[in-house]
Amino acid sequence: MVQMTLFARPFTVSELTLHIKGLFDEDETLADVWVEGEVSNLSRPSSGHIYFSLTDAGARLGCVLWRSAAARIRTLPQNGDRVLAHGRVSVYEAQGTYQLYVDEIQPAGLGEYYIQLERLKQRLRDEGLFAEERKRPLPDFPRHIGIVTSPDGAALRDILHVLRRRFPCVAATLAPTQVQGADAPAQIVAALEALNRHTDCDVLIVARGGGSIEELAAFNDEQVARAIARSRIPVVTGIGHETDFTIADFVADRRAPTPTAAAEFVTPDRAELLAALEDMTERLSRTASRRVQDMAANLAYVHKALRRASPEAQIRSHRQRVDELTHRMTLAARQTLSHSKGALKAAADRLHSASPQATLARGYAIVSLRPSGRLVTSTRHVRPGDAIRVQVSDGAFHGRVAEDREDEESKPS
Amino acid sequence: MSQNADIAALSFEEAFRELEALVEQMEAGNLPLEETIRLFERGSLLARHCQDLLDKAELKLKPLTESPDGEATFAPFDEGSR
Repeated sequence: MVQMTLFARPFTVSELTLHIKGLFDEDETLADVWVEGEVSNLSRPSSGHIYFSLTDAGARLGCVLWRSAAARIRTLPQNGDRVLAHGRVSVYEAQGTYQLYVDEIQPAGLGEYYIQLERLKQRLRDEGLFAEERKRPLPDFPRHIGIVTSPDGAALRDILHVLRRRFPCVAATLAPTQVQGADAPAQIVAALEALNRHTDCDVLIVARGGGSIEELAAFNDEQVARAIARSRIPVVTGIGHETDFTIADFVADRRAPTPTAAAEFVTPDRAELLAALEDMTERLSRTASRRVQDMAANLAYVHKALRRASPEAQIRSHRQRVDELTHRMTLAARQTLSHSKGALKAAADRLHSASPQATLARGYAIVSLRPSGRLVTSTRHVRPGDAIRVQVSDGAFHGRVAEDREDEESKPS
Repeated sequence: MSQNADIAALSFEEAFRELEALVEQMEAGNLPLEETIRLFERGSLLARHCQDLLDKAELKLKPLTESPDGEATFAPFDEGSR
């Protein structure tokens, strides 16, 4: 009997189930598995999900096909069908059972085809045909798009619709081919070669709408894969739906999930381009007007400089200089003059003090005979009746010598 | 204007790239006024041409078929009739 260890808490059922589920979910094989078996107990309740079992001689596996996954599957299984189902195995907690969550289901006869396909894929991968460094960039602005698809399919319609909407100024050349059936691979190869040889296409689209694995077989063809790899023009594939991967997709320079997406990959976005054009137009006019403003400012500056350097300005400047010199000359002359005046006055003063004038001012007079002008310095120089001129400090007057004579020595005592 | 007569024949890419280069040139340098005006004029026409290509161009579609002798032939193709 097993004794419960002290303190060890027992699992709840949920905890244990979750633990088991974790073990399933960690397992890589269970996460991505193909199972072959016979369908039984198939039921499809109103929820749209499909429940069935896969059995073989020795065992039974519960399977769920969710409504969303069922919608993508072309041929839904019937009781008694031998099928190949793909999905992941996990635990359904509520029932305590494990089951296969199916995302892909094919008739079992294809088992061998899948294996061949995997081998081809591996071989081409080993040759390096899928290598990332082989992938070429697509042109930003394609000029000429080559389209390899059926002229009758929805794929072509979808592609042309996108091209018109996004980038209508592109030229497109359709290399019409069958996209399924025995002739399709050879036609696709020929189309790729013809576009490479005879056109100046800068990108090619290889497209087909959704289909079963048999219907997409042409795009899993080795010759098609090699023709894509050989193309000197970059190739974009848009084959089937999102979930379909073909070998052509792996070899292509870019794989798009659908034909519509392929057309979007090869064309720039119209709205973005228009926005970019608007932005550039705006920058263009902003730069131009700023430049013109700068130039106007420069012009004003240069004009000012020019006016300063003009002959008129020089004449004005010379005239000003003349005025200035004239002024200085006048000043200098005036100064010299007043200097001279001062000196003259000083000289005159000195002269004055030495002149008889001062003597006259003190009451002396200068007497001269008229008209001879001979100075009378002695009584003997004159006789009564002589005409004389008497000069005093402020002028002169005329007179005559009287009869009486007063000699110094004969002066009465 | 006559020196811009070539614009109508430019592909979208040629016009778009030239416009990009021209805007950068104008933003980068103190170009002479005459050059500025010339580039502005050309840039405006390039932008208009690009817009016209996006707004007014008709997708040109032609089918290519190869005859047995390896020559490509183009036949008129009408989507609507198929």
